[in-house]
Amino acid sequence: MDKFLIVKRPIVSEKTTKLSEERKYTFEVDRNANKIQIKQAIEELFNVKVQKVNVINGVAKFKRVGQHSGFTAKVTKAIVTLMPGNKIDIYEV
Amino acid sequence: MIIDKLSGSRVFFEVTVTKEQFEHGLDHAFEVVNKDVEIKGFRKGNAPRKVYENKYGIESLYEEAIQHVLQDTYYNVIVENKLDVVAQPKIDLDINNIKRGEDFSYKVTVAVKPEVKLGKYLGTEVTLLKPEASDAEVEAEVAKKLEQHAEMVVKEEGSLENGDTAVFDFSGSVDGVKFDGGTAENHELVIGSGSFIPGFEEQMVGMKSEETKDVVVTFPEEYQEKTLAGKEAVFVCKLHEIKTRVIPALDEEFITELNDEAVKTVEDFKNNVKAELVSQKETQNKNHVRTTVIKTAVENAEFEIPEEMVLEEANRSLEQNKAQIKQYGLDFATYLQYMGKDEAGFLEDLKGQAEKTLQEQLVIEAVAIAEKLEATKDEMDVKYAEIVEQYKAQNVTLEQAKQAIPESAITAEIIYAKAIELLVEKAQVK
Repeated sequence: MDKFLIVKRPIVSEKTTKLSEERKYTFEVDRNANKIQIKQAIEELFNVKVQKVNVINGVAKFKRVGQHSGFTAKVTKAIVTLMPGNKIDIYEV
Repeated sequence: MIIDKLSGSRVFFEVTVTKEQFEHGLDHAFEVVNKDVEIKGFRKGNAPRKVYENKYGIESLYEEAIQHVLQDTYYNVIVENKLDVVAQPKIDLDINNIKRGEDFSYKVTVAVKPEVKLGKYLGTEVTLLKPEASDAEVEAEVAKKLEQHAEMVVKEEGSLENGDTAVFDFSGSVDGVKFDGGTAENHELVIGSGSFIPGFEEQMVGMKSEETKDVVVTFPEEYQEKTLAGKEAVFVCKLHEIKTRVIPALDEEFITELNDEAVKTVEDFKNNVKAELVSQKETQNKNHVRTTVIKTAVENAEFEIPEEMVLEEANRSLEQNKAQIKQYGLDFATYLQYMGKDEAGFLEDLKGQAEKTLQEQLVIEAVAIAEKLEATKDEMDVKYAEIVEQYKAQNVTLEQAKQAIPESAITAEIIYAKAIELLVEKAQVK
């Protein structure tokens, strides 16, 4: 699987900004990718060493707009912890 | 720091802002601006600098940063050089030339308090009016007073004369047709006041009570009602009453009617009037001395008041005027209309006044400095006590008064009053 398809975008919020101080960076990733694939993709994309990957499988929420009802898209987030001494400038992605 | 003195009591100087100062300004600007910025994923005001700059760019901080830096550096110069600034500074700065990481400079022109070169201010010669009242003046004043007590009396007999008030009905018509506003009942008209069409009042002279008469007049060509202008009209008038002003004679009867304990006789009344006139003249004299000494001191002194200072003072008094007018429940625009002026004209008037006030203030302050006048502790205490007395209704304590009004203001006021006193004292009164 292509590394550009696995890592979709960085997630920038107050919480992730705080996490980035501990070398933990958060990305939205493809639902079908596993931790190993994510690790390889990040290492290649940012030229860093990854220590571990934690994945959160988002749940699709039920939403309705008037008569129409449906589900929100399911989002998978990966929190990537880097080896000490490594750094990603996520704002420049 | 080089400070050039320009004409008109202005100074000019150039201030350099170092890149460190500007960087500091940017930090400050971010703090200020970020408070109101909402970026998705962050609570309001909680976005980090980097995220903010990515979204809006560093340039968005420049305006705030420049303002902050200017204020800071400008204020430093003012304090260091002890400049007595009296108006808003004019700052010359090209914002497009500013780059991060480079020093830049700006030029300032600002009006300062003018230096006053005093001329002769002591021993001003003042000619006074004599605090006396001649018989003729007393007579005139008495006549005026009697006039005030005049009464309207209905004249039973005789005919209408100039100066009388006629109470009458009238109904006017042009070519036999009545027109709007041409009819009234029990209208009161002072004959000779000229409030009606020319010729109308003259024709009424000689009428007797309950008499009916046709008054024929021609409307003037420039009459405001176009349909009537130049037309001949017939007014049927029915006179009901003739009232005449009767001025009371100065006699015992009038004195009794006055019902004043201090005034028992005609002689008393005259003496009273005379005393009033004398005291009036004395106050006039006092004011005259005051205005003359100040005026002479101003005329003899040399100084240039910067235009900005006058304008600022005028604007201040314009605001004051507006507030006052509002208090009377009037609209400012309506007031201007009533006075027959526009705002620019009104401001022009105020500028004249402001210039005069400033001149006086500056000269008197200069006199105080030249004479080394000072306010003592006792005098200040007296002044504070006066203020407390003045605001007694609001239960102001001495402490509150001292807190509300700084000592420097009180001192200035005392010295100001002293300087005027000195000028008046040293005047050569003739």
